[in-house]
Amino acid sequence: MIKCLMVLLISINFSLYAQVNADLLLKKADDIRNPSDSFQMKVNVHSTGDGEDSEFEVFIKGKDKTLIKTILPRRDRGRNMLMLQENMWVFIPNLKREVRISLAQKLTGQTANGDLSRMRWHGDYEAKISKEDASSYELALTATKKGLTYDKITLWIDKKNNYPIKAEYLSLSGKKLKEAIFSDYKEMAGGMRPTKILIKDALNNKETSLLTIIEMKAKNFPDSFFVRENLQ
Amino acid sequence: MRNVLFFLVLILTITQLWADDTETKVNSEVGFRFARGSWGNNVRSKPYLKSELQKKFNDDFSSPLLDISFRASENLTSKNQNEEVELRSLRLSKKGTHYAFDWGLQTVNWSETFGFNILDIVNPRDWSEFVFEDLSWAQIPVWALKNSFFYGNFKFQLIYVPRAKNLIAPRSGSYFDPLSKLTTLPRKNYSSKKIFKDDEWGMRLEYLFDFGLDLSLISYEHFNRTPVYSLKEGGLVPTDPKLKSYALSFTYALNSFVLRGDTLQTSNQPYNSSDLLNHTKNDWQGIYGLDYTFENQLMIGGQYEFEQISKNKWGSIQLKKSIKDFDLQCLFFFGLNNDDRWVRPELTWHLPYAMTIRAYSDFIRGKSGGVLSPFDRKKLYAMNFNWMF
Repeated sequence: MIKCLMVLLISINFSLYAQVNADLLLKKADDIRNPSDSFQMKVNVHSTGDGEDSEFEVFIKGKDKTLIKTILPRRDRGRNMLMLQENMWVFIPNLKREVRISLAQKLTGQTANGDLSRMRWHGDYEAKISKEDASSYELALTATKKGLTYDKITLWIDKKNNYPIKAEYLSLSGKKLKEAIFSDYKEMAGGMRPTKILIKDALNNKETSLLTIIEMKAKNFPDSFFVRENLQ
Repeated sequence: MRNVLFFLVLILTITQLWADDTETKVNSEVGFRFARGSWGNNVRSKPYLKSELQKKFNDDFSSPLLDISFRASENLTSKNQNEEVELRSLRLSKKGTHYAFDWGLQTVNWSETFGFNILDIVNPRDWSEFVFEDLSWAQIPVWALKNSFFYGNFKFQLIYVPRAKNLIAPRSGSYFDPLSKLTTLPRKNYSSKKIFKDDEWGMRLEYLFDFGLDLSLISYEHFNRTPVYSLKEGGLVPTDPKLKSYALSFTYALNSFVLRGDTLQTSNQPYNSSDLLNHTKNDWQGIYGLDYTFENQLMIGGQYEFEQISKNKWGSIQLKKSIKDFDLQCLFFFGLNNDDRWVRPELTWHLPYAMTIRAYSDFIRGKSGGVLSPFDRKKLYAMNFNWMF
């Protein structure tokens, strides 16, 4: 009986450790992509088939406040977006009006609104280590909230340095929607960060969007920076 | 035309002068708007220039911002001199940790639904050109003090317009004149409004719930926003009383669905009647819609609409899809208890160098009962070209 209890306790302990470990890994991977709680970055997006690149100025506070200002293409200038929790609005410049949209709507090319506006996955997803090899962990992330950009994500993390390597964005049924590859790690905003993210459509690998982080800096913003009035 | 050219040169010069000033943004657009009706004449043939200058006084978040925009245009279809240079905004904006003040000439949009934008009651509209005119052209900016206060998910907005502006009604006997079938009696102009005496004011309370519902309550005291006339001293006099409106709007997004709704209640709303007497009724209007975005980014939206005075109900379906440089859109609007039908197919082509061509048509049917009966069997073909710089 005592042996049984001991085995049970050890099993529970191991499973808790694995759980904490996956959670920690996800947090570390998040910390590599996001320099601090509050920061801003300039992002260029080149999508196949689009004549012009898109450029955005992104202001992020925590994991649920983001303001995206569209700089290029010129025809979309002023088409700014605000994300509060899982809620998103876009400003339509010629109508001078903010319109509620969903996180899953496309920003440009293969990039969904949530790909830029919701950079932190820790807290939004439950993480489990699904596989492990000599060089990487494979984490299975399942959404703990409704209204997120993706229901499930499979994330590969480098064992050496916790760098995110690759992510697959999946539907609720597990169907692969998109793949993102994180590369070109460079010193930026006080740490090594992936400066290029290649997003590929799962059905058509030729449909890609390359996100290049041009600059990134930690900066503190008041909460009132993230209000609909600031979209104009 | 001279005005458009003069301001074009001026704006290009200013843009060049301030090209390196990161605190100053100048966005301009030059274009041409053309529309022809099936009744045989051109509705508009209009070159225009729009320009907007935003000047921040320093890099700080709380720095005051000056926003100036104007529009110069000329309707070449008009035989009379029809050049217009219009100041569209002159607004000083100041933001703090818990507030945002916007003072000056501005437009305020409150509607969450598409189409008739029933909650956009702060600005009167110019109905003179085309009844389905784009709202950005039809709204008349007003001098207003708009003060917003934020506390977490709660927002409170207070608006004061010291001197109301009159709406611009369709010309007498014109195609969109609501009384064209009833009478040709002479009409008097709207009386000019006096500062502080003829003021308008209101407020909006907004709360974003943690589960995603964004709910707003609105109260606004304003002059009548619809062109209504009554018979007086052998002529027709605009009915322009001050009214009180209360409104509720909401939006809610879940995955690829977005739910939105606007409800407006106006007490003693005047309306046009065949006896041309002054009639009023308490009016309720509502628009409730749902839109869904598919994985291939096809957007389908549906709306239900009602209006209490006319007892009309409508439905509408909107489809939107972008394919490379083209945006395709189609609106189907139909009466549920009347014969109103309106179809608007629309194509926008984004050309290099920020040039855009937009073409659309309006096909209207309305036998009786509905709001479209005066425009039965009419078609409008419109094309806009613009270049942003």
